[in-house]
Amino acid sequence: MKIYQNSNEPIYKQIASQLREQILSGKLKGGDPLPSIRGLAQDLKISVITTMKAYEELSAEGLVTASKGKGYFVNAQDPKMLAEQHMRQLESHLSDAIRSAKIAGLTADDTCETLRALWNIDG
Amino acid sequence: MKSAVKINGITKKYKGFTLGEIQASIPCGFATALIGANGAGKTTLIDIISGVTGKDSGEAVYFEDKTDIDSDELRELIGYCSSANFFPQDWNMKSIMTSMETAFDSFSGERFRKLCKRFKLDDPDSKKQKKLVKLSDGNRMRAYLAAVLARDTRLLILDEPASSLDPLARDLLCDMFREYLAQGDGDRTVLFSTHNIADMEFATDYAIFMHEGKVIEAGFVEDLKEKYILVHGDAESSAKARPLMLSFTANSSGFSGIAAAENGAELSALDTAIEKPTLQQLSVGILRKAEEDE
Amino acid sequence: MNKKSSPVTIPQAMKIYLGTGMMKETLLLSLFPLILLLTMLVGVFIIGLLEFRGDFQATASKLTGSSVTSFIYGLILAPVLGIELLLTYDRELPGGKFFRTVRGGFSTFAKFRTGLTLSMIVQTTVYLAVVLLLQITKLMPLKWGVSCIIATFISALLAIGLCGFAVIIKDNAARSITVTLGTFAVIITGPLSLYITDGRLTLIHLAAAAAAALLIFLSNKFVLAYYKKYRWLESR
Repeated sequence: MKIYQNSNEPIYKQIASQLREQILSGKLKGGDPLPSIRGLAQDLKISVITTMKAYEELSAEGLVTASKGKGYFVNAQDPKMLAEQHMRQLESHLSDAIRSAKIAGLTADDTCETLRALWNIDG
Repeated sequence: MKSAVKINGITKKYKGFTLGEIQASIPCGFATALIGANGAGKTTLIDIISGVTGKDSGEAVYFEDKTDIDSDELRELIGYCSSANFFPQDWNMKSIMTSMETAFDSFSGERFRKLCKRFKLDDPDSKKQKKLVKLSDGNRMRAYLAAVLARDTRLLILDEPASSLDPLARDLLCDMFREYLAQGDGDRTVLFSTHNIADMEFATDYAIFMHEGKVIEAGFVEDLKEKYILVHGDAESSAKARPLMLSFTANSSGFSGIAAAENGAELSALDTAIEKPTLQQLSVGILRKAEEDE
Repeated sequence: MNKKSSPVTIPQAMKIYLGTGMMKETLLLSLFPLILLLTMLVGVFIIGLLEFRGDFQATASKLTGSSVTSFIYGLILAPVLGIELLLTYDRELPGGKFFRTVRGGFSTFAKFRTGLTLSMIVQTTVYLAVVLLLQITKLMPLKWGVSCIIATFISALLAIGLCGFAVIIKDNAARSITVTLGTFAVIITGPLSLYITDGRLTLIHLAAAAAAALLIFLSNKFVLAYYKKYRWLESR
């Protein structure tokens, strides 16, 4: 796990997004344990409360669950939930793209063209 | 949230200084920093809850249900360490070991030896050892820390442990805090006081700010960083910005200070740079505000 | 796991406060006045030799015949006891904040201080036992012999008892002066009393011995009570 200590993005968000990535992409499967909040804090050299907040965010999203005394575990991701998560990510990224497009003065059609071009390149 | 120490209405009066009433809670399983200027009352409060000094009123509840700090049980569970006046200055590592192993059940000579090595101190079994008085401030502090960390405790209360340490040693201290908490897995707590939170920021989970004998702010660091914003602006906007700010310094090139997060929208409309404060910046802002409020 | 659920013993308390074993410390401290004594005796003898131009016999008889030499033993012991009394109660003792957080709290300190008092008595005994040996083997016989040794012993105990009270004086300078001069003054009364009784031990000495024992007990108790009430939880 890589974090930028001095970036503008809060560390807990960085941790949460990296873990989210791993869960949604299937690298972390349902039932897998997350590192203990204190162990992770020790490894990353950050405060315990930061890792805790990251885990709490993921827990609120339904991606992980805290098991009393045992730590956090990845929730079995049902495909519909996963699809929803991915959809949410897509919508968030698209909103950013739309914002940039509007600032640049592009129309919806221009934007779709760009989208198609990039999609083809990406294969 | 479980508390390691709950401070209920503690007060103490000296000639020229009053501590209290203090109402605070040290959350269990985390590292709490008691932040304040010299003379704010941090050492007094820490001495009281460690049972080193007496109090005038109030009580401290430990681990949710224990109240007698003088009981053998709490003396074993709590590891206290100060930065000055801790051990007699003519002691060396061997004397520390002899005394500690007699005084505390959970003191491990083996662990002490290992810590002395890790902290680059004299080996307690070696023939030639330097007395504490001959050591530098930093090494003396390391000796005290090695002694308290060689015990198996549930709560560490450290008075200004970082003040005489260089940045490298402070980093090591942060690692030791995290290691201590990780080994306790939620059951162990650290409380330390400091007048300078820089270098300790990434090992601090909860902060309590003190000024002139009172607690002026407290909370989890992540929450405090969302409660306050750091604002920088140009000199032109300073007059308009001032009433929205909690702490405020200005000069010819501009102004800066801490403000409540709710005022963020209004402040950014004044063409200011807004960012999340570091704990260090937060401390400066909160303590400065307390001074300005006097 | 609680192997120390039993209360702290006196030797344990001393180990905690001194950082070293009680036996070791007592023995070391007994040696100190003895070394001082030896140095003093050699020094005095050399001075005597100079005066008597190298005549061993004359020097020896002059020294052993003089009643003034009887004071030497007491004079050497006095500063040692005085310093120890001051050290056991120096405002900075017990050492530091660490001792406030040790098991047993004040009662451990009380045991330490009682242990120190006992240690001082043992040191005095060992010291005077050696002096007794010197007396009996006629290596350095004093004018009033064994009586002088016993009188000095009694006055030493009196000093420990009486001057023990003085350690609560708050002002550093006043305390140091009172205790130091006090120990000197009280110890001198031992050999001095023999001038009055012409070398014999009388009922007065017995009474003094009893008083000494009582005073040691009382001063220890008083000082501990005082310390507990006014100083133990004082801020440093």
